[in-house]
Amino acid sequence: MLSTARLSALPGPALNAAVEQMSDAEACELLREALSQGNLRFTERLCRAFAARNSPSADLRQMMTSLAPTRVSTGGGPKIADDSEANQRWCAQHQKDYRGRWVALRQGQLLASSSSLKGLRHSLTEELRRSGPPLILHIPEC
Amino acid sequence: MLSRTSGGSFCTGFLDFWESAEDGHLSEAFQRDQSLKIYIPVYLPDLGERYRALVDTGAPYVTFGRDFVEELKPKLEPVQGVTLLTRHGRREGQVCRITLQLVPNEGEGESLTIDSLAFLCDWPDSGSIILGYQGFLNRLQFAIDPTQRRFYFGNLEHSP
Repeated sequence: MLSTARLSALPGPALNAAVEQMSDAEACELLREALSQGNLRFTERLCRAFAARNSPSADLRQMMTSLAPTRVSTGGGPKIADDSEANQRWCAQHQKDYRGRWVALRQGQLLASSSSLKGLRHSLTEELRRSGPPLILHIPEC
Repeated sequence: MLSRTSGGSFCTGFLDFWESAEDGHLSEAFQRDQSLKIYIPVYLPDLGERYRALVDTGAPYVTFGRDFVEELKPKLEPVQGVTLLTRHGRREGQVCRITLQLVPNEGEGESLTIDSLAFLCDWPDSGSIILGYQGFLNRLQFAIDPTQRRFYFGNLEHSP
């Protein structure tokens, strides 16, 4: 099999031909190798090349789903009242008391805090979430 | 809102960013010339919450620290045992697909929905979300106005 570096230098049709005979397990391995080298462009090219396969294995399908090119669309998302300044003010005033903890803020008010993200999310009741999504952040230890 | 000199809009919206020092004390950080960081809020529809995320053009991908793994894993079915080159060297972790939304200040444009690769790993800062350049920021149009602390964002696909 050609090295990842050699394969990534191939033009589209040649790359398709080179990877056509690979097993799904080899295809997964090649994707993992390209990722470990930080070659995201090449992983996207490989995903396009592997997309033509009939019934790929579950592992390869999962890899291809994760590594597909980034998609950007306009719209969506909740309406959120602008509370950035108020939340920053809260942090400036209180963060020394919450070092190492997760906090949930909205409109400059502390809704909840916890030593873990899981604990914090658990304490955010429906009632606390009703007025819009809270801003969650971790206050560093130092 | 920002426009191109050739016509057309550069961005769909903007939001306020947080400028923060490592230890959170901004005024002291200026005196010590400590490196400052830019954070923006991102909305994660999978969790239904907003999180403060670090904008880091020196890092690749979107990366979530250890604390997020437990919360995201049941929803996103990540691929296990992947090694990635990160800002902290080679790290083993999991990759998955995640949707992030940049929601503008109220009345200041439209949201951007980004469906992106994400890396979940045992990061030194377990509570962090890193918005890296390769695979995320380089798929958007973005600009920073430090005087007003605004982060402008737009859809690259709508670029002329």
